[in-house]
Amino acid sequence: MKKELQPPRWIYNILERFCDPYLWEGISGDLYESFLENVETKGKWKAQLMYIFQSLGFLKMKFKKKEKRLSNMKSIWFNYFRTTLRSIKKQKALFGINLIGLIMAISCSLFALVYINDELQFDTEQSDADRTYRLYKRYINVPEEVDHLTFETSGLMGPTMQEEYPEVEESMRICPWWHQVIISYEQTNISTDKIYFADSTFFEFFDYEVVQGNAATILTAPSSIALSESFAKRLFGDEDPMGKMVVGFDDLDYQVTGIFKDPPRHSSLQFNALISWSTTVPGVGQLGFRWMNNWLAQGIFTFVKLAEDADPVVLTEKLPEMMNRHFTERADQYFLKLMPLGRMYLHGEKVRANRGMKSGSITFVYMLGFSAFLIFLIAGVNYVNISLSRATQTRTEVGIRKVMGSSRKQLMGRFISETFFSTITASIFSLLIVVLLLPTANMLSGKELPIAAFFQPITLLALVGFVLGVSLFVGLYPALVLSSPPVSTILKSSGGVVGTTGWFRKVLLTLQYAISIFLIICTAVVIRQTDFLDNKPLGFDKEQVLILDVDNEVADKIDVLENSLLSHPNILSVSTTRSTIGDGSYSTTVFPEGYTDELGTRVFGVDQEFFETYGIQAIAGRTFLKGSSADSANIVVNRAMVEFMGWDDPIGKHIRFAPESTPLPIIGVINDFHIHSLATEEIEPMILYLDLSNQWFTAVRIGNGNLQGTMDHVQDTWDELAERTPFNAFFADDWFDEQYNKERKLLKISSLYSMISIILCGLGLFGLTALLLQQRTKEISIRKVLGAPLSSILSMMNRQFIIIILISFALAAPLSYYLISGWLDQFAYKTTLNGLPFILAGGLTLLLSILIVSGLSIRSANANPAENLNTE
Amino acid sequence: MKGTNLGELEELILLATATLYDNAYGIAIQKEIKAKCNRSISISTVHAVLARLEQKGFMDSRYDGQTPERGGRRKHLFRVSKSGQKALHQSKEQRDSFWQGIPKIAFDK
Repeated sequence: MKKELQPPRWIYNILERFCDPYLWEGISGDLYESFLENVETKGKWKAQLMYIFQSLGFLKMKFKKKEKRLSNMKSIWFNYFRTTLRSIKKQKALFGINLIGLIMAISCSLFALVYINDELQFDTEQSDADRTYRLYKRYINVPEEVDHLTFETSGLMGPTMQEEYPEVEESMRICPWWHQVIISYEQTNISTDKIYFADSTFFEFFDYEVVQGNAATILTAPSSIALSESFAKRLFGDEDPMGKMVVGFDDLDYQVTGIFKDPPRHSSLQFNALISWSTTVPGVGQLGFRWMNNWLAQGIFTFVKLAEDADPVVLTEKLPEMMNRHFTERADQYFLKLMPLGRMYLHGEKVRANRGMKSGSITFVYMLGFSAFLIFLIAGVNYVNISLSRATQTRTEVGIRKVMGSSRKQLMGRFISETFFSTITASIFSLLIVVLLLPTANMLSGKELPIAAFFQPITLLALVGFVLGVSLFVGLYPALVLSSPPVSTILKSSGGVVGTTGWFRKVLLTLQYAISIFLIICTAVVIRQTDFLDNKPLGFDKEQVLILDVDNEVADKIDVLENSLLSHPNILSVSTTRSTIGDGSYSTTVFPEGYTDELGTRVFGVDQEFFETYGIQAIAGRTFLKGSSADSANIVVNRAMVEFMGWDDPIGKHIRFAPESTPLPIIGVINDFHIHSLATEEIEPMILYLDLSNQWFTAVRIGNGNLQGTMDHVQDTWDELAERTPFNAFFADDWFDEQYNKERKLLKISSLYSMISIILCGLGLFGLTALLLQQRTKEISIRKVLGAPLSSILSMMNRQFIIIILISFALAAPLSYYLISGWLDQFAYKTTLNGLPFILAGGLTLLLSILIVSGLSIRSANANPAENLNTE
Repeated sequence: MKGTNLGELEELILLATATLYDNAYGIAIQKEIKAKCNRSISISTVHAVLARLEQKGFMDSRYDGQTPERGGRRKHLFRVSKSGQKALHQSKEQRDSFWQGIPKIAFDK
């Protein structure tokens, strides 16, 4: 027979396996006959195709092989189910341990999954997100040892790129403002920190939806302002805001030209007011901010949209050349880069100066996912270990079923279905728990995850995945082992542990303990680091310092404010300055005496009372004299400056702000004090100068008297003076606390996860020991009868677990040391990594295990041996 | 029982089987129906109906008649059984009695 006349073999095989053998000959014959005929009439290919379709027609129950066993399958499965329930009833504690483990693991994973999935959705809904990039730069300054990434760009970078490179289709500048801005309409004043300056094409570049106004022209005219729906509602109530004048930035008038929908939750950009960029262009707008429109000043954020076929890597390579042409001064320090819009939210975490935007943390995402996976492993190990240990109990059942004609496959099905049953129960509980605990979880993670995030296909998919995955991977091995014993050995009364030798169980146990020890070590180090950040001396007295954000209106009456505040007996000192912690100071380059290059320094404007109010003492020389402006041409520096310059006697040395300007003499040196988060920024050389013209912040040193009374006084004083400026104040220590939210969040989650891990390990060990003791009851009884003391029985039971824990420790310690010291290295200031967390983790685990094992052993060792032995 | 009444397709296949007498198997029946009624019935449907009819006892079947065009397989041959004949008759009688009862005027143009 010619070869090409064969119908497709695969479908033939499938059908042969499927069909009733009696009907098969007739069916296959007919199919073949029809095939040959089709080859003649319709050609080879069509015949093949028709053969397949015809064959598929036979895949019906009617032609299916009749299973001989089919009739009693239902009752067999029903019986399995009943035995499962019965064994659960008999071993409530073990089932409970397994269930709790599974519930915890599934809950953790489910939460982690939904959380991560939500984080990944940021900014991806923007159309063209795949070709929209955010400009950022690597800032390298060798003499000052600066090397970091920052989102700050100059106002001219974007427009120049668009002009000079055809692959840049559009560019977009935004400048989220640094401070609260008050926007007023008639009698309503609302202060917001979500205010951006934006280029006129904002609503074309991004997808934010415009409700009123023409998207193309809203931000064109100078002094135009667009408001979000909710903000406009607060400001105008039911009035139509369009075309109305509001008083806004810098106490100037702005016209409302558009209303947009509040930015969606999954948007990094979060703003409720936009001011047109033209407002800031000198000669065009009333603000005329030269610095927002030149090359030198940084602080603007730039986005670009590339052409469809443009390669961002190629473009990035061209950018140094652009810098060379336009901005030679910084071409060897600023290296521009492009970050895809979709990565900005999570991967932007290591890039500095991302102000005015929501941001996530890819490190946290990895840690969360990894921890959830580890918890899953621990729970899986518990399940496998406890199931394996039950082998002795299921032995008889398996034996009898085998004698009755059960196949191995069927028996495996029975055990896997038991896992399946537990996992389904656990999944249902987990979903309930996660949804119920969502508010708590949101508090822990500092993210507002709506409940709707859980009712998405992905959740269902995950649950189905968990159920199937656990049933197969976790259930398979025990099922294999439990169904393995041959009939002959089963029905004999003797016979040791079935199937598995102890080593597999021990490996799993080691793994489990290693994970747990790892998590505890990490948590302990995270605790140490957060504690360190909280308690490291800041160089000034951060307790009881209240800082008021003073706006123009109050700054005009600053003397009245200060005097009125000082009239309260519990207010010790008041200082009004341009700079304060985290705000109002700036970096610039200066020219110190005896230094050939320019030096990057932080410049901090203060008044005479600053030092007293913040509790900063001079360590050499003096600070600015009170009640006189004689020191206006003198400066005070910090210790870091002196150390950097290597001055032995700094008093009297001079520093110039520009090459040609007057040298200013140093009259005093103060201790270094921190004005930034200890996590990210190190102390820089600092110059403090007397600035009596910029009154931005008023700091109030409060005594130990009645705090509430004092606060009321401050508030009352404010309300008397300020008509349209809302009261906005913070405590210095709170401000530093807030800087460590990210670390605290990590701390909470890692504490939770390591606690869960140790609970699971404990539970697992409890179950395992209970089973081991059950198997060894007689052995222990005989030992007792022969005169073994309790201590020898305890050491016999404990020995193997102690060895296992020691091995786990040896595995976990180096790994966690490696990972956690990498984490610590990210911090500007970090705690020393000593042995304590390691000893703590190892000791805790060891202690807990000894307690569990000994507790259980004592109970069984104290039982009357006669009772245990008379059953023989 | 439902089995005593014939479905339309069942009746067609029974009739075709009876017509083909000693050579009634899947393909042949399919072709016969195609020729007489110009109806294309898939081969799997033919087999399904044949199996059902046999189950109901309206057909007997046997294997016979190897041919090379079937790759050396025998044919699954069907023959209408006694009760099959009875069912066909019954069906025909039912229809006839209806036909006789139709007043002439009803079909008049």
